[in-house]
Amino acid sequence: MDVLTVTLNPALDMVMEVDDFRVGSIHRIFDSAKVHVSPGGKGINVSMYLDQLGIKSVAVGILGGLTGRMFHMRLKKDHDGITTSFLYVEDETREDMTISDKNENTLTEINLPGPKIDEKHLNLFMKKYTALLSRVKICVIGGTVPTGVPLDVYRGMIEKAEKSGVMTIVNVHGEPLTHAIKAKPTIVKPDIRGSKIVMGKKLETLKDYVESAKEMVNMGTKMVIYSFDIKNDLVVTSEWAYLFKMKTELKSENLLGVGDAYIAGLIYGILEGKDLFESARYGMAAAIADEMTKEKDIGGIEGMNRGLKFVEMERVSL
Amino acid sequence: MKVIDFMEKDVTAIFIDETVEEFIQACARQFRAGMPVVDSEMYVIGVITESDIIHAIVPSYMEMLHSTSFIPDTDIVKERLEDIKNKSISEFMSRKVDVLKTTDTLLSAAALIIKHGYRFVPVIDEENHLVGIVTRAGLLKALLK
Repeated sequence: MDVLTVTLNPALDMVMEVDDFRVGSIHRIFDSAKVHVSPGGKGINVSMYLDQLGIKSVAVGILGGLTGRMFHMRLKKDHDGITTSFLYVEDETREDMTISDKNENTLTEINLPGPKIDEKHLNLFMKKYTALLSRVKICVIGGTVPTGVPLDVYRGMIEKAEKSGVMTIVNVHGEPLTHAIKAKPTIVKPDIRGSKIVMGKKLETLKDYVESAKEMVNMGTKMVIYSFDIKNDLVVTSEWAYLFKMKTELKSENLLGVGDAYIAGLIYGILEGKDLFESARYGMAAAIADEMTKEKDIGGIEGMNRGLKFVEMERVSL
Repeated sequence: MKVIDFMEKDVTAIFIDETVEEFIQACARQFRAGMPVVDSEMYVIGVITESDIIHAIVPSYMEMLHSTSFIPDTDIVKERLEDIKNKSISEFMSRKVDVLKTTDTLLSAAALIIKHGYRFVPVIDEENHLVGIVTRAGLLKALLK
């Protein structure tokens, strides 16, 4: 087992295709192919992409109730290569429902609340997390922090991992990110989909992004990856900064989960012994491969290698 | 077919210092009949099942009776569980544990289950870490494929 992925607040994603969706009307779906149920959450997604690349991972997190059980069973059914270890609580796992109306080109989302986690269960989880750290090389921490859990929880988790000699890759946002940075995670990919404010600073221009990444590098992180201008990634280390771009002739089919595919590709490169620059290329290639398909699918190592041909790099001054 | 091909890749386990109540809740929430007991590095050091707990709370004289239906229901079992629920599972677990290796055959797994009546058997890797479990249903499902 090489990789541990952590998703404290996973969700069962349900996408329903309803043409001509109207508020206040009854819509019956007769074709089961128009309902897609899948386990979701940043760490879980990374595990699913790693599975496609033939990399074994153990996915840990907190699940609850019958929804949690359904989440777990679905994950097992679709991804036999993923080892799991979930802590179960009484409250139900989050459900995120999306109504996709292709005629009107609209998405309507309803996100249900997740479980409230008390101190006792958090401590139990941390114990399981610590035990599993002894068996992996890389730990991926991603997603939101559940209700009841302190916002600096990731900081403690990163400190434990780094102390055990485990490389950490962090993909979080907001205040949990600000706390997490202090523990000097190896690689940070800030999640800026919801807000472009990172560590109290608003990011607008490329210079803002470079400065923000440099600040994190100066605090001890080895590499920072920012999604910039939707299709580009800014990658910054203490020695260089590059914009990784997708060749413009390619048409995107889907942007969902692309950031998680990036992390899986990055891990592939690292485990293959590549340096950070080369690994970032693999990350970008996996993201491109994922963008080319409608589902969360990078087409295995072959698909990622095809993606490599569409990666362009442009040096950015530090 | 080897154990690696049909085992459930789940390393959910319980630590030796967790309580009986925590174990019961974990089993109920995950529809499990028992769990491997591991140390802080995920080495399997025992197994605990619901039967171990039921055995501990039902008075031993009940086992000697041919019929128990004439005995009025009292709260004795509930009281006994109340007495032990905060105790460590280490007092009730089995320390002698049969395990399977990922390279063992399905036939040897089936034989082990039949011989001892196990509902599940922990699976370990070459370094003796827990890597999954074999269940009766999982074994039969693999044969149907």
